[in-house]
Amino acid sequence: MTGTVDITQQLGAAQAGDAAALDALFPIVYDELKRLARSELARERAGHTLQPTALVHEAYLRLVAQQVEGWSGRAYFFSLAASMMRRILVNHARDRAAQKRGSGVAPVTLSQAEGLADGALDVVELHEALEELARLDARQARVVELKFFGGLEIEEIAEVVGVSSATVRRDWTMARLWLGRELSA
Amino acid sequence: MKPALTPQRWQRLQDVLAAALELPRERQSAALAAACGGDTELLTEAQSLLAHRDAVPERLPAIAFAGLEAEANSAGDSDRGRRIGLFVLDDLLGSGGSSSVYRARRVDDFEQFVAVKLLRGHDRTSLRRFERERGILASLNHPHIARLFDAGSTPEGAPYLVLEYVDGRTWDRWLTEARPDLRRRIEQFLLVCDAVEHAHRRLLVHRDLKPANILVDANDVPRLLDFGIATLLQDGDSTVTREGGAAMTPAYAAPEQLRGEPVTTATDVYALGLVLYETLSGRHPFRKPGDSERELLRAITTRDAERPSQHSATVSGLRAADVRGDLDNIVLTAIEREPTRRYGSVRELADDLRAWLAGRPVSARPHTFAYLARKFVARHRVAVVTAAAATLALLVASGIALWQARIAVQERERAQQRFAEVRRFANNLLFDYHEGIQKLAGSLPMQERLVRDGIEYLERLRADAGDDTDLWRDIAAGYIKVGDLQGNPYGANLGDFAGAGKSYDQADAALARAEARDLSAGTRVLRARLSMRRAYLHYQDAELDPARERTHESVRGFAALHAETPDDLDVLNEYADGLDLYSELIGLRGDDGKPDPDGARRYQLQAAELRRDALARTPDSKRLRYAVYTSQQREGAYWVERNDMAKAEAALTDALRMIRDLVAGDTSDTYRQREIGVVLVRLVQVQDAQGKLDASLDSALQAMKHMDELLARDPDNDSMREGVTSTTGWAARQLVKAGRHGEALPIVQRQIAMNEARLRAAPDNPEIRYNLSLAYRRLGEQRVAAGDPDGAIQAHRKALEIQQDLAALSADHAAAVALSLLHVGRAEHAAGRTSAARTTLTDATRRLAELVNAKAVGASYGDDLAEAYVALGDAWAATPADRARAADAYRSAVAIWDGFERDGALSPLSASKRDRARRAAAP
Repeated sequence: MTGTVDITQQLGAAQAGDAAALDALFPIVYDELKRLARSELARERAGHTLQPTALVHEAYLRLVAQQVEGWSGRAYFFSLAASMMRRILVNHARDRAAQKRGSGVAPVTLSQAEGLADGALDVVELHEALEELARLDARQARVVELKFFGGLEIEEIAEVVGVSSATVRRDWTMARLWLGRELSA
Repeated sequence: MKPALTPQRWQRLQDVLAAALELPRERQSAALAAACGGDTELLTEAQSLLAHRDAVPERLPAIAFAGLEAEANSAGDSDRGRRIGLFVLDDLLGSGGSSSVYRARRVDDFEQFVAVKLLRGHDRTSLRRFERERGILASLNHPHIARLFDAGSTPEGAPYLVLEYVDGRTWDRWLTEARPDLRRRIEQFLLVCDAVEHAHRRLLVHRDLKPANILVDANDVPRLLDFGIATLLQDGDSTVTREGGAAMTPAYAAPEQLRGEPVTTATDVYALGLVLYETLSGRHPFRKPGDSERELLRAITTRDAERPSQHSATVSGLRAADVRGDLDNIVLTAIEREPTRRYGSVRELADDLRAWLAGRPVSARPHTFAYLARKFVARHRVAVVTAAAATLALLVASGIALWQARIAVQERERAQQRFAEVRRFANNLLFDYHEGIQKLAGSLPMQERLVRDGIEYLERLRADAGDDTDLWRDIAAGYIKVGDLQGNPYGANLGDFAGAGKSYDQADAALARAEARDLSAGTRVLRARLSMRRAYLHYQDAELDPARERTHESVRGFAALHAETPDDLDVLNEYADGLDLYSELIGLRGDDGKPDPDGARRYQLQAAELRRDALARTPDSKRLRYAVYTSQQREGAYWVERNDMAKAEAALTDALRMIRDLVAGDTSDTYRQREIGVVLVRLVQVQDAQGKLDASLDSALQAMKHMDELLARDPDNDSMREGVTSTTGWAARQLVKAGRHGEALPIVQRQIAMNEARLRAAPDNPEIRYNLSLAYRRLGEQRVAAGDPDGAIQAHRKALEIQQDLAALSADHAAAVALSLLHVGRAEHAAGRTSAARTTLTDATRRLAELVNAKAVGASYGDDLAEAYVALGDAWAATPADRARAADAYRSAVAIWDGFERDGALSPLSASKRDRARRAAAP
């Protein structure tokens, strides 16, 4: 089914603001990420957990790079993939919470640092905090999404967002402060 | 409380913080204060943000991606992104047996979501159901029923429905997440009732109402989904027959659906009642964690639900006191097992709920004592024997105890006390009463009820057993008892061996629960007993190896138990029974596949010794006395097999005395009374074989008289009728032999009449037909003795006619034909019809010789063949010209008896017949 869609063409169109193209891309990227996670799991691995960075990069390699060399929409693809990853994890956490309400879903501990040490949080809370942050500063929320869910480095994020690395660094620092307080509340 | 942050203020904060963060830590605080000037609010906020600078890590911890693994492990939704008609599929919302539902959106309108239901792997049935759903939905237009927008087929031919997309959660999620208060719950539930009623007015039954089929949107508005298995009612009739295929959700299926009975609007009333039950109590009334589906279905069809208010306190937002009373009654009325006892319509249910909301009285009544007793009696309205009244009183009493246990739960101690009572009643019912009833004449219908009620009680007990080891043991014992009643071949049983096997399985499961915590003697006894029951059933099915292995298992268990508690009579009795069975089994086939007669004898004697020793210690035990009797009877059978008839007679005479003493004065014990007849018939044969004609005749007449008396007391019991025809047969035979043919005639006539009556009740039953032919043979013998050879020919021909029909069944049946020919031929000879006699007897010898030479029948038929040759010789000897042929026939007979003599099997009677044949053969 995915074969019937020209991915690079769709990516280009989506990047240019074509909502239908974006719509068509979502399921493809979503499935590819899950498929990669599955094949990753099937491999023999001792003690290493799935790395979102690896998955996103591999998804890119498989879906895009093979078709067109040096496609300029690489950054756009990563952005798309990071948002998909966020969606997968949030949906999963919500489903589980709904299924196992009251039976103690293990929350994700974000840090051992003060403030969050005794109050562990889950992906859903992070997601909701990011939505709140997006209201204050959309770019900061996007930087966090790319960093956390896409596993991208500052420079890669700068390329995706289209600002300098310094700006990304400052966005990250500020977003981190805001999230730290928000999630510790 | 955190002050609301605006983008502008966030920008301002960042400026302050950014500057401070570029400085070394120790100077940051001062820099911050300076940058904020006099704005203390800004400073406070900046400081609070700074305090959490390390709270969030640089990278999302690996554990956050655990969900990805789980997602990856779930089945991929391959249809996502697929275009169907004007829609593109998005998230998979859910999938059932044959269809998947996706959220989808229009290709040309991204804002509008729809739900697309796609039929997968469609067969004819699911296609039809799908088509029906389409037609049904098209006809329904209700704010609380999800609407149908479009329908069609994919290019591959898979049909799909485009439905209204309800952005919401299922009813149960809504309850747990939104935690609506009681009124809100009832109000929104009433909207669902309206939707169902709307469907009912259009003659549609939903048939699959459940929380997962009710979606609640963000405004708490519910919508009913999935009319996939809805059924169209016939005009003006609220009953429909069930369509093929049991598409429904078992946990929400009404008892009548599970029973395969017609589905009516009352079925939806029941399902709505279950949804309301969960709405008010947070739980399903019958589903227990860890139960299998089978257990759940059992509970639905047999158990009464607890009052929902008993669990309301565990539901956030509800108080038990508000639910107790009217709402309890409403729910319990809606989920009555019998459709006719439920609300007559959804509207009546809704009216009661509206009355409750308005504070008006409701129509639903509590389960009062009188009501419950009435219901109980109605279910058991079969008056049978004298015991019925007593047992019925017991049933009602335990019903009341159960009822009281149910309503008194708030008083915990009292409830526990009641529960103990119920348990005691159940035990009484199964044990004491069963013991009493199974001995009574005419008790079969009563026993059937015992099985049914027993299982019902055990189900109830099981549902409440939890970790109660003692109770699990009781339940196991109860199931064994019920299994015995259904089909333990070694006791009075209903002949339901499959049912017995199932009950023993249940006993096995319950016992395993007890064994997990307790390996006391009480538990091990049950295990050994259960192994024995399993062995019985294997033996019944002629599965000798598993029967022997199970018996061995059981005997080992009982041996250990007996060593620990030598005075425990129950253990001893069962141990000895096990040894007897083991003896019997290895006598047929030992561990090496060959009969082991020595081992068999050893175990048999061991059992007998155990019983005798125990009886010496406790001479009053009836059960032991019966056990010693069975050992003695086995002793008799052993000597019969060894052909030592004198020893056999001694043993059987002993056995007869024992069983007579035992049942003396207890005429109600028909089962053991019948044993007297059995022993007497054995004695007839043993005495006859020794040539003790008078003793043998006396035994036969006693047996007949005894069985006659028993039949008179229990005239519908076929095993008594069978016993009477068998004993009359022996009595007639011995009377004729003793020359008292005049007395034999009415007995034989009665034997014929009784078999004909049995045959009318079971036409074509080969066994009864065969018995009837034997009765005619007795008549023929009687006619010969009375000097009426023509009457004899007639009688034997009647027997022959029946036997010829049955000849194909077995070699023994074929031999019966030959024997009747022999009788006919002799009678013809006696009547002077010599040439007919020669033809008939030639035929008889030819047939018998074939069977005997092929060893198709037992060697004893050799005697009959020899006699047939003698009869043929007599027929030839009637004309002097045929003397040579006569001598040939006599010599054939002598040769057969000579063979018997070589094998040491020549009886004195046969020896004297041989002497006569020898003389006749001499020139």
